[in-house]
Amino acid sequence: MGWENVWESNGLGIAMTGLVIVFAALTLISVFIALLPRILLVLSAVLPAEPLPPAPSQRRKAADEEELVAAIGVALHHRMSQQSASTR
Amino acid sequence: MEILEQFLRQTGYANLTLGNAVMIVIGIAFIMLAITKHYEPLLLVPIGMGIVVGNIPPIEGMGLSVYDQGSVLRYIYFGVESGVFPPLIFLGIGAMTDFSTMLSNPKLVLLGAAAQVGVFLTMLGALYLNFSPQQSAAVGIIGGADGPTAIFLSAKLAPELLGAIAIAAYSYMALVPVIQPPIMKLLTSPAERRIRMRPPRKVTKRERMIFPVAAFLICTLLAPGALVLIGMLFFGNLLKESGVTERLAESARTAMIDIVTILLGFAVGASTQAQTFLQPQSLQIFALGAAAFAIATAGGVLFAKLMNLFLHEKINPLIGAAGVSAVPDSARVVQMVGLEADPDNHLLMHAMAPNVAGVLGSAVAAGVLWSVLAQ
Repeated sequence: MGWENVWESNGLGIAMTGLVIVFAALTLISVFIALLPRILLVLSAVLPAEPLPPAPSQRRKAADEEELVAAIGVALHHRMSQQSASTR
Repeated sequence: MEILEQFLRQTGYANLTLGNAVMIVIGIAFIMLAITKHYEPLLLVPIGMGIVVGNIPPIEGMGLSVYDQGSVLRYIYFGVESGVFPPLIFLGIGAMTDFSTMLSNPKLVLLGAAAQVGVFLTMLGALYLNFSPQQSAAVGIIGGADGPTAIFLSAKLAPELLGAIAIAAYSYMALVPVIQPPIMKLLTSPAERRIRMRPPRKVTKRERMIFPVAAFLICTLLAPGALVLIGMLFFGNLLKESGVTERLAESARTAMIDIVTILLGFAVGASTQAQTFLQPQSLQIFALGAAAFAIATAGGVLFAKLMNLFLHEKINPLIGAAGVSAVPDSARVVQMVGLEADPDNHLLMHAMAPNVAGVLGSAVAAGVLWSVLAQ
């Protein structure tokens, strides 16, 4: 037990180096976060803030579903009109 | 009759040593603490049961314990020994971590670095007590208050101390609400504890999406040794924030992290056989671990006070204590101590910033120590 082991193992050097690297890494992250809003201004052309519109296939699918609903609606309306006419 | 006699000679009752009995009592105490006091139950129950299982004297030649080649427990322990489990836990942590509070107040990131002083000063303490440099680094990382990081580094640098280090790290993490408040109160005045901070700003989705990739590059280009832990942490966070991999993020933060936690906790517990665990070195590790937590807490609080000397808009120094990692327990402790000083001052959100920064800080510290001391 004693400081000999600390000196021989270069403990102080390792501790100082480690602490400096940890501070450097987190300081760089801190600086990056501070600059992030400005970086985003530059990137806004590439990375839109709003969600991207759905892919063409998905849009096609959505349109198909709308047409299907509309067709069912027309058919139902036609059928119900016929029924109400026959019961009058 | 002879067979019966032979069988009786092999039973645990015949072979149980005093050390085994002590360890079984410790295991049961862990389980009781988890159930009655709710101290980290998700960790203490698997570890406690693992300790009980690991201290049943195995039958010679049967391959039962974690140290016997080919035993089932050995295969589970492989995930600990090889350092596979900790990065998987980091993946889950990343998938459940919201970096918004950190992104809204970048200067608080430095508190996560300041608390790592506990790691390096404890390493010096361990060297003073004649531990080898590798063992000292593994003991010091207890101050990072991050169980997976402590296990990862000890598996790489000092596998012979893994059981003691893991138990010390998780025990002190469970005791954060007991260890931290006295230090926080000692180092701050009532007026400082009442400092109110501006609410965090709203962070955009784009900021949260870009952050994991950018922060990963910043950290690992500087400290490549942290690649595995930081890489998995930010990968998990990217799964969460990308908005297109919600299913994967959900699996990582629920089923996967639960499975790995069960296996890791149980295997670590089972590795604490009295013959290897009850050594004078273990007592020293426990003492150094307590010192590491205390120094890390003090380091964070004092650095916050130092920052206040230069800041126009003061920060509440209590949140420095959350820099020790131990997510989210230390942030909860900050909230609790803050409320004692001012019942309307809610510090939880502010404390989460140094808290998640502490996770990064301890992972970087582990990476640095691993790369410097790997043989």
